[in-house]
Amino acid sequence: MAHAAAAHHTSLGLDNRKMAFWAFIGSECLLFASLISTYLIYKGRSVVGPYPHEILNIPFTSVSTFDLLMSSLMMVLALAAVQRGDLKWAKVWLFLTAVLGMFFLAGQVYEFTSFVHEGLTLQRNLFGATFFVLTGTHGAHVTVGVIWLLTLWWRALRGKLGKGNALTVEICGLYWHFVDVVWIVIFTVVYLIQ
Amino acid sequence: MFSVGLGPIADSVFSATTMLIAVPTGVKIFNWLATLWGGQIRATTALHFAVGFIALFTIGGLSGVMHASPPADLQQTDTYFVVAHIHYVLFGGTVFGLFAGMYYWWPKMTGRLLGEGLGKLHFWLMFVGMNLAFFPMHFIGLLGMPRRIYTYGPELGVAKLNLVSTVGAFLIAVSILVFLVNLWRTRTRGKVAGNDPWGGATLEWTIPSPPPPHNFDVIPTVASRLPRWSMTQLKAIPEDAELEKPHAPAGSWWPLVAALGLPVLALAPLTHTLWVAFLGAAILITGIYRWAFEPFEV
Repeated sequence: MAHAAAAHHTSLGLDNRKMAFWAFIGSECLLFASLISTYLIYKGRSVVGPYPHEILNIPFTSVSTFDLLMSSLMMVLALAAVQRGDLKWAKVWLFLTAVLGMFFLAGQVYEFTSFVHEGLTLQRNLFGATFFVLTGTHGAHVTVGVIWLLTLWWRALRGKLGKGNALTVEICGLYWHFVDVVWIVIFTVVYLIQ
Repeated sequence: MFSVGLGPIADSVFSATTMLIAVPTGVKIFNWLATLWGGQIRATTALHFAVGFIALFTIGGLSGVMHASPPADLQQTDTYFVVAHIHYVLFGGTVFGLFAGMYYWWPKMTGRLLGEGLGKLHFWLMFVGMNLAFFPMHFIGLLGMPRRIYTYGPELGVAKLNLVSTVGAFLIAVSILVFLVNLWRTRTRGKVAGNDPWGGATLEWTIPSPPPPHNFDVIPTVASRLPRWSMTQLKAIPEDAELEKPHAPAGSWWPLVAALGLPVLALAPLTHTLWVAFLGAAILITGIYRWAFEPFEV
């Protein structure tokens, strides 16, 4: 950000803000690992329906998974644009990343609503409890990412996202790719391997 | 733990691991004693609390080892014995340690020394009060009074011991009052501390009290474990030095805003009001957002 908050030089060869963010991602891995393990431990233990195979819509979720993957691509392009000081394309790619993130969230809202209409709620059975907590936590992470991206986009619109801010965008990108990778794991574990 | 009925093998394992805790703790206690042994002891209030801490923490450790024995622990589970143990560890350990640090670093934080006379009064009241309050609980527990239940029948024969405990609790309260009076008096009447009122060995005593916003303009090279006592390599800042304004980031209000959101949010379940929950969440989220993107240049 501003020069006032410039990083101290360390002997690590890695900016301390990036280092801190990797540590944060490490702790996020533990969070999602515990939620995914909980899902797996309770898998197949629901005594009442709806059961996963009756309700999960793989084609629909494949589309939203593809959407999230594409947003990661947009993120890479946005970072590249900021790093070469190309404000115009930085605006475009950042906005598209956020929009694809919002599409994913819209898909999740639709999915959750239709599940509730089919009788699957948080309190219904073990599948409902573990599924909604796991995917809901992921959705909350995507929401934070979208707010973060829109903030950076707004900053770019005001012409304040130059080459000097590349690290800010890079860290946002680390977060966004992490959230994407977590979704790939969730998609595989929850949807594909039933 | 042992009252759950896990069986002899699990009980043995947990018993052994619980006893193992005593080993590193014992090593630490001998560390502190050895530090005192080699040192030049001055009976300051901070030292009173530090030594009190070692003694009380050791007593808490001894009753802790008793919990490691399954047959003994079966008798102690959920009685006041456990309350006695935890308070020797937590109150005798942590709180006495906290006050030792408070008396030691208060001059560094504020520039004025806390009064030693009131400080020692505080220590003795708290030390006597703490032992009166918590030592009888060992006996109260072994006599059969369950913890977390405030009332008991007269036939249990713990009324007198509980009265002693109550007197001790009031003594602790009085000692805290003495501490607060000491803090208040120190604001104007405390001795001015200067850089180093104690002859300390570590780096914080080389800079003015209270420390300037930017304590070391150049990170000092430390060549010994007692850098202040081997000062030749250290460039100290003189007490009346005109310090150059450093380029430090400005203070921020947003962490306070975020913290304010939490109690507002906590009010919602207490008052069963939804709009308070939304208000608290809004304050919290705004605080975190502005804090995360500070300095806000948008």
